[in-house]
Amino acid sequence: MILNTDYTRQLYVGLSSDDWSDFSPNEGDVVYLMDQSKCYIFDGSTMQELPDLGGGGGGGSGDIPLTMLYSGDYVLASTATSINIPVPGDGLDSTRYRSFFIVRDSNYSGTAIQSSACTYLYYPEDQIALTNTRKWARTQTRSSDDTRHYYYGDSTGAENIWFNYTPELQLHVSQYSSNYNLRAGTYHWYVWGYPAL
Amino acid sequence: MKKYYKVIENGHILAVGTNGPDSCTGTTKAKYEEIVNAILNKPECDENHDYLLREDLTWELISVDPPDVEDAEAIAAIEEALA
Repeated sequence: MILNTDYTRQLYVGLSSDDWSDFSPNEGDVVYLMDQSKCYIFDGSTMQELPDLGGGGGGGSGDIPLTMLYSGDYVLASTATSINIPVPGDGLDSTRYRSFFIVRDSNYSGTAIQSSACTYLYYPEDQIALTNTRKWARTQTRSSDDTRHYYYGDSTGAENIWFNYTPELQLHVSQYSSNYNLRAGTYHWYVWGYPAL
Repeated sequence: MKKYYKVIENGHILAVGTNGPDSCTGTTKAKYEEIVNAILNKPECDENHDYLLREDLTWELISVDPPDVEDAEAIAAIEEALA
């Protein structure tokens, strides 16, 4: 297992590689790209593809057997200051999966939502990691005393994300930028599992 | 198999979705698609107004509240603390 066994290296998840400009990994960090189902490791200067992802079907033989557990859509009817996107959490077995990635994707431009992807990662029980960048997710641990309500704002200021750690996961998305509103339309979400060691 | 659900509040459809938790209020695929089609064909309005979708899939024009400045300030403070 190459990846992040001691949490000293970062695991990133991105929807696509169409914008690497705001990505600044450290040597040894690994990226999983959803659109390619491929992983890359940063060797200090460039990203090198990792062979044989495996993935899917509960593990696989690859270096990073991420498994997509759920996906769905949430279609918002009216502009809102925030939304709670219900995501099934009951099947997220912490004995099988050490961490889960929850990815929200929307493709709006203009004043409402500038970013196209937000990614969340949490660890079971008292460790939680939550990430959100415009294109790339990065693990960030939080202490156990603030597990109930998580927050991360990206550096662009385009939007702020709240994540409630509950049996039924809720992606709470809010925006406090130019017009404070989330645009009506479709939000896609995905849950990926990273197996326990 | 996809599960379809809807979110209703005070007689208005806030959202529809797929593959939510079992606690969500279920709906049919046909109804889901009908609602999505209505949402995607929502009438245009200015920034001070919006439309709410009634359960009969007609739109109700409403005024939009101004931004909550205190919330924005609180968020900024948390953001700074986490930086």
